[in-house]
Amino acid sequence: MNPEPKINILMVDDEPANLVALEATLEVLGQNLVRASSGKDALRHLLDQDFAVILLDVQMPEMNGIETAVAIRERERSRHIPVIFLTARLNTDDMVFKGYSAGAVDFLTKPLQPDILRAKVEVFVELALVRQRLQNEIAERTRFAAEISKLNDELAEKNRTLIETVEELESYSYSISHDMRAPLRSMHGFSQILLDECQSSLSPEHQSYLRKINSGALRLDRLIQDVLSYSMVSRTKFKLQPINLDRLTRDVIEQYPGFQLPEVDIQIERVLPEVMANEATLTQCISNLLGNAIKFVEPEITPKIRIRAEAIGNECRIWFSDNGIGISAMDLDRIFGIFVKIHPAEKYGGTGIGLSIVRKAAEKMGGKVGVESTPGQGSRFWLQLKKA
Amino acid sequence: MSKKTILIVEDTEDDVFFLKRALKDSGIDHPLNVVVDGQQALDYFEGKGEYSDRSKHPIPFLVLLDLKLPYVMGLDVLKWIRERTEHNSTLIVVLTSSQQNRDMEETFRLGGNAYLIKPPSRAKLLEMIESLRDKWLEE
Repeated sequence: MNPEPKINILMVDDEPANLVALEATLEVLGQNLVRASSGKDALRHLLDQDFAVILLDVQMPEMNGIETAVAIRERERSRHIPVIFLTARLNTDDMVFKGYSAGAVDFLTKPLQPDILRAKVEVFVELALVRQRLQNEIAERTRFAAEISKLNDELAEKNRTLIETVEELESYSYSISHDMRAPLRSMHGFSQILLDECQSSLSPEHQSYLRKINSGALRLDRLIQDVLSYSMVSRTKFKLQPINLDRLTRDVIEQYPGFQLPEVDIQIERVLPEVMANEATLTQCISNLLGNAIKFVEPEITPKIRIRAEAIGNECRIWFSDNGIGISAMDLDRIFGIFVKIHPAEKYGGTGIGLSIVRKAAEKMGGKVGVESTPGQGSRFWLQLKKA
Repeated sequence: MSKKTILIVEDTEDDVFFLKRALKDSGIDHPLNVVVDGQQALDYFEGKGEYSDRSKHPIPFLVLLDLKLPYVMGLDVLKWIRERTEHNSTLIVVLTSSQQNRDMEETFRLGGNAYLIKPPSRAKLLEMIESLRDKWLEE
C-alpha cells in the first residue's frame, strides 16, 4: 500500500515573517504547509486544494480575516474546513462574534504559544487523516462491491447460457431418441414377419439370427424408452399435491401386467397415508420399485412383497420389502446411479435406468430413496415423501 | 354399398406398411388411402389437385394421424379438420411415438377421438388395431 498522502494546512498572513514563524512551529507535524499572503491568495488555493485546517490572520489589508472566512463558507468545496483565527488582540466581543459566525472554530492571540498552536492544529490533522482513511476504505469497498456485482452478473449470464444449453441438449436428445425408435420398429416388425411367415424355409441357425435381431430391437427400444422417461422426469416441472398413496398403490398392483396373484404376492400392511407428490411421477416410482422386486428373485421363487408406511416427523417413509436375491454392501451405494446394472443382462434383463428414475423423481418431489439389503435375504427399498 | 374410407397420414414408409398389415390382419377391409405429409392431408380434405376425384378420394370416416409430419404438423392437421364442421363425423385417431403428456392433452383439447402410442412390436400393434376395430368399425 502507498504511504498516506500528506495533509494540507493553509496558513494565511500578510506578514511574511509571521508565515515563517508558523511554518517553524508546524514543520514538525510533517504535513504539507501551504502559504497564502492575503485573503484572495487563500481563496485561490482553496479553489483546487483540500485543507485539514486554515490558520487565518484577522488583521489583513484589503480583505480581512473575517471577510475571507465568510467567502470560504460561501463555497461548497471549502464550507466545512475548520478555521482558526490568529489575532494580535481580542479587542471586541463583536469581532469574536463575527468570527464565530463566519465559522471559526478557535481564536488564538498573538504572540502565539507554539505548543498550543501545534496541539490544536494536530487535532485537525488527525481528524483529516482519519477521514482520509475512511474515504479510502469506502472507495475500496465500493470498488469491491462493484467488482462482486460484476462477477455476479457474469455468473448469472453464464448460468443462463448453461440452462439454455442444457434445455437445448435435452430437447435435442429427446427428438433423437424419438427418431431412433422408428427404425427399431422396422427392424422388429420385419424380422417378426419373417419369423411368423418364413420359419419353415429357414434353418434353425438362421432362425436364431432373426430372433436376435428381433429381440435386440425390442431391447434397444426399451432402453430408449427408459432414457426418455428419465429425461422427462428430469425436465418436467410440476406442482406437488396431496395424493392418496393407498389408492394409487392398489391401482398399480391391480392394473400392471404381472403384478397379481398367483405369479406375485404383493400385500399392503395397513392403509397408506396421503403424501405430497405428483401422481404420474409417483406412479412411475412405485411401479419401478415393484417391478424390480418382482424381477430380481431366484428362479422358481414366487415374489413376495410387503408394503408399509412409517412416519418420520412430518414425512412418511414407504417401505417395499421383498424376498429377492438381495444386494451386496458394495453395490448398495451405486445402485441408484444411471446405467448401473449389478447383474448380467441375460439373467435379469433391464436397462439400469429404473432406479435412477426413482431417485430423480423422488428428488423432484422433495423426497429421497434408499435401500437396506443383505444378499440372499431380500431387499427393503424405501421412498420418503412429505405427508399431505 | 361400398365401405367407408380410412385415411392414413404417416410419413414413415415402414410404419405405413405395418399399419396396413395390422389393419388387414384384424379383418378390416375398408378402402385405405395414404398421404405422407400434413399438407397432403389438408389437400386431400379440400379435394385439391390429385385428390379432386371424390370417387377415388372420398372424405374418410376415420383418420389415423401421425403427429411428427413434414410441412404441416399432425396437431395442426387435427385443428384444421375440427375447425370445419362438415367433417364433424370423421373420427380422428392420433397414432404417434410421442409419449409427451402435452401432445396427448392437445390432441383431446383439439377434438381428437383417441391418442395411441405406436407400440414397438407387431403383436402389440395388432392388439391396438383390433381394439380400434371393436370400438368403431363393428358394423
